Amino acid sequence: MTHPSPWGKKPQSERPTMAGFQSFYERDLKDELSRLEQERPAKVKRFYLIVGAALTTGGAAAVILLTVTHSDPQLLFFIAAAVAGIGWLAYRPLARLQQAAKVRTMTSLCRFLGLTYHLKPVAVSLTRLRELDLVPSYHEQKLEDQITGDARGVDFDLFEAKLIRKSHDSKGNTHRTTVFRGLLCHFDFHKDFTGTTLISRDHSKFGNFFAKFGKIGERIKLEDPEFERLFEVYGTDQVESRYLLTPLFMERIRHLGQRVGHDNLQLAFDRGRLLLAIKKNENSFEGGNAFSDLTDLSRIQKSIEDLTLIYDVVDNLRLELETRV
Amino acid sequence: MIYLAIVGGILVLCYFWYASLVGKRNSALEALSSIDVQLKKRHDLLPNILKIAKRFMDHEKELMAKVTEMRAQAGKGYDRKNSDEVAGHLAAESGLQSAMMQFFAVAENYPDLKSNQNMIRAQQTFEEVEGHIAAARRFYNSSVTALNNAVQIFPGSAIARMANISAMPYFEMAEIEKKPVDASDYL
Repeated sequence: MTHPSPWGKKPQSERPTMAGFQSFYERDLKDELSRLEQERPAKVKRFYLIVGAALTTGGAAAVILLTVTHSDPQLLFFIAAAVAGIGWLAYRPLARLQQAAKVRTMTSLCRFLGLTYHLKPVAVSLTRLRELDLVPSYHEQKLEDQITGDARGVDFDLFEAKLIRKSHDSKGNTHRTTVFRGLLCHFDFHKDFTGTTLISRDHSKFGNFFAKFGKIGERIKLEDPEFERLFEVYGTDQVESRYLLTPLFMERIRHLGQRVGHDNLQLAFDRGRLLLAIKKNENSFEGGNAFSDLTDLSRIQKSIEDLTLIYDVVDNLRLELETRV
Repeated sequence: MIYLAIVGGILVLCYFWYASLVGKRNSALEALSSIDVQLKKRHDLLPNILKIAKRFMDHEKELMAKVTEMRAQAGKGYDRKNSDEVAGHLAAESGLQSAMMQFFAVAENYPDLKSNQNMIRAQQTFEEVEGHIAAARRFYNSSVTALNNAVQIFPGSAIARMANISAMPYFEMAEIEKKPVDASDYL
């Protein structure tokens, strides 16, 4: 049986880096995913059985408590919590299986592209990103899916982050809010520079007035009105910021903004590197959940689409160019 | 009393307007200084480039003499607060840039020079310096726009006249840069 192409309808020429992956998949990944897929139906069945039993027992207990013993209705909360807890425990083997498939797929995909993948990022810090205000303040961080290597000759380091801010209400309850979910990455940049330039999203006139406090350097007013409408630029050196943000580069940033959403994109030139924070609404590099076939090529296609973002950054910003002007 | 308050209010307003004008002029002068810093790099680099080229471009003595002369002209001192002198200085720099572009265009006809490692490195540095000059020029022109708008629009124009603050010239690109490429020149 032949599978449809995982590269979708796009012509192969648009994905030159993936040429030859089909045979690589057959050789390197297919057997491993098939082995994991064999374990999946039994684990899914077990999950449904446990959850079904927990729901039935919980429902029966609720009926008895409310109609027979006339207990306090608040006990229903404990029953619901117990059912949810059992459901979570029952899902864990499936989650582990899904993660194993994801790690195997991403490792294989990255190896094919000459990149390195780590499920748990190593040697990463958000301190500088926070100092530059590329990410909002947070109390908890969840980092995963680190990909490093060079894309079209440009060294980069990318990982996925979920940042959570905790707050307390008047009753002392703790609320957890996700303030950032997306990709954080840095790319080597071909121009030499010593200062810092921050390109943050525009917050309208009123918002920009308050947003400028705490930003690094001073406001850099640029000539491109469309760019100015979409972004606010701050820098430690007026000339250097303009050296980095040439009219052409501003246009390229606008194109990248169209790809990821202008409101989702923030950049900074700092310590010789280009840093990017790209907000996303969904988890990247997951492929799919544990309830669908692990060998389904659409899962790999999804992971490839997530990976193409790296190449889109390089291509849109033309980071591979050696020009110094 | 009311008249006194009105006059006092107008004086305070005039002071802030004046302070704003001085701030804008200082910002333009600061931008002009940053251009000079970058132009100095160009001037420092030129003798090295000409020295390397001299070995290969023996028949282009006239062109090299022109570049040297333009460099000497552009390197002359000027009064930064005199807009005519600033305009003259910037025009001389544009002339030098134009001569340099012409020089590099002619250098293309000398394959040995083009492949010379020292020349390749010098040209890369030159490109980098030109990138910085372009950035400094954009900063300067942006500051000059803010100053000129403030100086030329009433009531800023009246306050500027009293305070002896005048508009400053823009740093225009060299003509050779602005012209579209005519393919027939190269056929």
